[in-house]
Amino acid sequence: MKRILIHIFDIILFLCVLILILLWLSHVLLRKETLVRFGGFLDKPEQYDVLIVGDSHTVNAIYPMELWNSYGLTSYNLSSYGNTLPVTYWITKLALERTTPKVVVIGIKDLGFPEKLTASSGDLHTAFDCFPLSRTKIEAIWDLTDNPNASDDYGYRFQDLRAEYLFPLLKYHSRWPEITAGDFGSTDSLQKGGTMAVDLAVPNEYTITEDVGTEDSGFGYQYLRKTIELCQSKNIDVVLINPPYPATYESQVLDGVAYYIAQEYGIPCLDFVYMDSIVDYNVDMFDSFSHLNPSGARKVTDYLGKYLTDHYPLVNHKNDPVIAPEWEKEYAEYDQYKLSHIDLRQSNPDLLLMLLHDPGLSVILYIPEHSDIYHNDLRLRLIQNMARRHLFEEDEGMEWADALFPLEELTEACHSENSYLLVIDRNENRIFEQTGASFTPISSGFGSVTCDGKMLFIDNDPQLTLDNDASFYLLLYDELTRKIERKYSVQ
Amino acid sequence: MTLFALTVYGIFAALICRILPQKYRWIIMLIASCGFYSVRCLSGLPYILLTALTAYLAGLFMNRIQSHAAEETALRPDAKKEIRTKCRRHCNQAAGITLVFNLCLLGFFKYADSVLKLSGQSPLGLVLPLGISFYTFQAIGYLLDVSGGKIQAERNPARFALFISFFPQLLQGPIGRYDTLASQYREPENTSFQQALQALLLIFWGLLKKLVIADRALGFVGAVFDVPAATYGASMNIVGVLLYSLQQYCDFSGGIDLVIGIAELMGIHLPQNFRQPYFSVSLADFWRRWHITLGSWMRDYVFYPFALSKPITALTKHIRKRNTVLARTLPAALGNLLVFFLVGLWHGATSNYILWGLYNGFILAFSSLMEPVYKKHELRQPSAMLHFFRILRTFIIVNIGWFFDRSQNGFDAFARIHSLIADWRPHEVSATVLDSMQLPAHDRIVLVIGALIILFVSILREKGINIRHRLSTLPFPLRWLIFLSMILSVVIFGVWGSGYEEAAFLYYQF
Repeated sequence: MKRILIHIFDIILFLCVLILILLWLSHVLLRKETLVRFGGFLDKPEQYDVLIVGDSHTVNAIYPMELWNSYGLTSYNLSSYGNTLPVTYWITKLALERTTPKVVVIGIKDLGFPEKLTASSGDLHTAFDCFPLSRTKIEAIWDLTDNPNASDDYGYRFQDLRAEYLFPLLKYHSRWPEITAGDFGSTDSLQKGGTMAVDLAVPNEYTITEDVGTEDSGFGYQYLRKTIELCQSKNIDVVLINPPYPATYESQVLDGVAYYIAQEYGIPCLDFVYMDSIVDYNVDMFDSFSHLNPSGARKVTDYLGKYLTDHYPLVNHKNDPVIAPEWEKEYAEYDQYKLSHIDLRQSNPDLLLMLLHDPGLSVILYIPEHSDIYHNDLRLRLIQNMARRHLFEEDEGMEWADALFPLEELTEACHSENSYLLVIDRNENRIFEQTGASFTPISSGFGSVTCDGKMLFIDNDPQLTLDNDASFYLLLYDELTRKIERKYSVQ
Repeated sequence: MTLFALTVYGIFAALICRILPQKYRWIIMLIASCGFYSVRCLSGLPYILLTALTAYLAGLFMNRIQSHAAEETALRPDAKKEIRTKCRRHCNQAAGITLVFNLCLLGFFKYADSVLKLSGQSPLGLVLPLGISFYTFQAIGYLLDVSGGKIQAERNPARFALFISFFPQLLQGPIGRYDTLASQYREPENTSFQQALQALLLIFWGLLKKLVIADRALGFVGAVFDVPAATYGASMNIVGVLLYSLQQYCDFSGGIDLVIGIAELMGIHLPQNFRQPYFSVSLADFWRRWHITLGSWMRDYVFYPFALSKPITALTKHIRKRNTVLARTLPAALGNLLVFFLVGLWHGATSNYILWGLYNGFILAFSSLMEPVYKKHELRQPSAMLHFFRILRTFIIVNIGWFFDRSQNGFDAFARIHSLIADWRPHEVSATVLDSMQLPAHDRIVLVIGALIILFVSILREKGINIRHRLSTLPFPLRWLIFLSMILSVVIFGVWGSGYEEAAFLYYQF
């Protein structure tokens, strides 16, 4: 008997060690994208007042760190690439098992998608892998893969992949040749689920239609209702959102049904497709047909932040001694991350100018005389975009052009091709511009800006040599660090 | 059912067996075998039942004839010879009819589509019933043993069905014999903790060989051999055949280790199928170490009956008058030719397999004929260098044979062998080319390390060291460390998961 007990102890000990090693391996070999997206939420789920759920459009349209910086809102974007409404429902359910936020923002794009899953099996991994195994996760995987004929891009039936979704090690065990030192440490969710998609695209043609389809028995409608009911059963306010994009007629008709569903449940539906003056598709699109770049995302994020603070009893945590220090620290890291993005694009003037539409960065722009930029409509539009102020709910009916700080001197400089100096002071929300052969000192929040045509000065300190070889010159003043962070001569 | 599922299924069945009294365990094994067959190959179920039923009935029939003959002999001792002749004739007829029926069944499934293709007709798209070769061979062995009076026929049809369908064996053998297995099925051994550990070690070792090494080499071997022979020169063909050698050995012996390990957990000791074949000193030695159960089956049921048959005996007698040495060696030479022709044909009705069989047959026949010469010049105390030379020589001979085995057809195989002399192309074997042929650097490292570990284990085994026993009796931290290393190696380095076609054992198709 004693011997049997020893053997049993022996086996149990072995199995425990084996399971612990497999769990560790599972973490190390896991594709880290899932942790980058959701890790921050799972670490401290209880600290968020606002949760955002949806698909890639929501991922690229709403930046939680900007909501913090501008409105003191604690939010997390739990959206993920390729999420259908059924996936969104299950992600919401898994999230609400961990926390009860005050508001849930649900992205409703592709409401009429006929299947429970897209063909990308990898997207489902990104959405679910970092959630630990639980009854809800098993239910989710079983429910989402209940169609025996559904298969992914590689021809694998989703039902055959169930085990891999529940135990990601089965999928990633062979990833060992790719692992780096970073796989062994913790993963930062620096953007708290929001993701910058940096590019500029010419938007597709589109026409706004008033036609609305009828709700059918499609999974999107069914699961949107389930998600709303789930939130409301926990007394959580719900906001439906459709990020702006040049939607096709079919998409507008199918997604338009969300408006009536929202009415039925007494919740708002912010359909930016119909509010197409909030963004400028010519400078705000990452691709031609759907996703927003950071310039567009900041406009939508700002709108949403203001909307939420105006309509819901959300607290500005900026002065909260418990929450604020940590969030400010994280924002400082995020700020550096944004600057690193700008560094990467310094040789691409279009992207660089697009990224400078940022409330955290004040800008000094100098264009030498006869610069080629005067003949580049897109870049001129991007400079206008930098100086743009955002439109809000109360500005209904305003056009995009109304939102611009009128850069009259820029227009003049284009005609005369004289030198041009622009100072955007984000802290004081003021814009200064001059054109001509000489410039008078401009008094801004970060000092007196002067230019003698050969050198840019701040408080008489020389900052940047203007050798007239460049297309334009930039000085970036970071409102957070309160110093000049970057200086660029852009060809 | 994946290999992991098979392993878990086997372990689960073994656990249930262990709970039950010994005399009822065979019932669980039979249920598990039926379950396994139904899941893996439901369409083949009628055929395995047909084989089991015909062999069972024929066995009973032969037993009854033999009993009658014994009784009659007791009554009429003077007619003993006549009665025995009659009995043997009837038994041979019964065994022969059953044997021909089952061989026809096997032949139909294995060759019907090939024959139709050759005759320009559209194939029937037949699905080979799982394990048809292995259970047919077992049934034939059983019939011939009963017919020859070596064993008594099984009276319990369910227990006979278990002998035919024992599930671990169905994937790729080994080919069992009724005389060694029947008593084990009746009363399986009570597996001790140490034995269970040894069985598990064998299972993980098998998985490691199959999933880490064999399946890792699979893509590259395909990239070399599934394209026209002219695509690559000698260098790439040599790397290809060496990796095929490794792949084939790890695939087949790994699968057999898995099967034997699962059976051992259930208290059944299946025969060994491999004994360090690449340490063979001659081709004959190789075939005594490679697929041992097929070799011994062929020896007992084809080679000896043929060599001792009336025409061959008459031929030997005729030759002995002129050349006694030739008379002594000729039956073996002809027997080897026949056996390996059949082995080649069994692998497939294509020119490359038949040529592969004949290649082995001719070398063995030649060796048989030359045996007196070899013996004359044999050293009394062979040196280590000579021993190594013989191993290397055999390895090269075997690998040339693998060209026939793996190539698409006979012409392709000859072209590849010709390239070894005429078309060297050393520049082909470069890191960039290997990367593009599904053999990136990390896979090459795993293969080299894996091959070295297998070599090391084989050397220890060749020296007669019982590694499993030694490992299972180590202090438990060390023992578990080895278990953990094996399991984690399979988990991390194994080629499995989505994208991996399970149960693609090379011998599964036979």
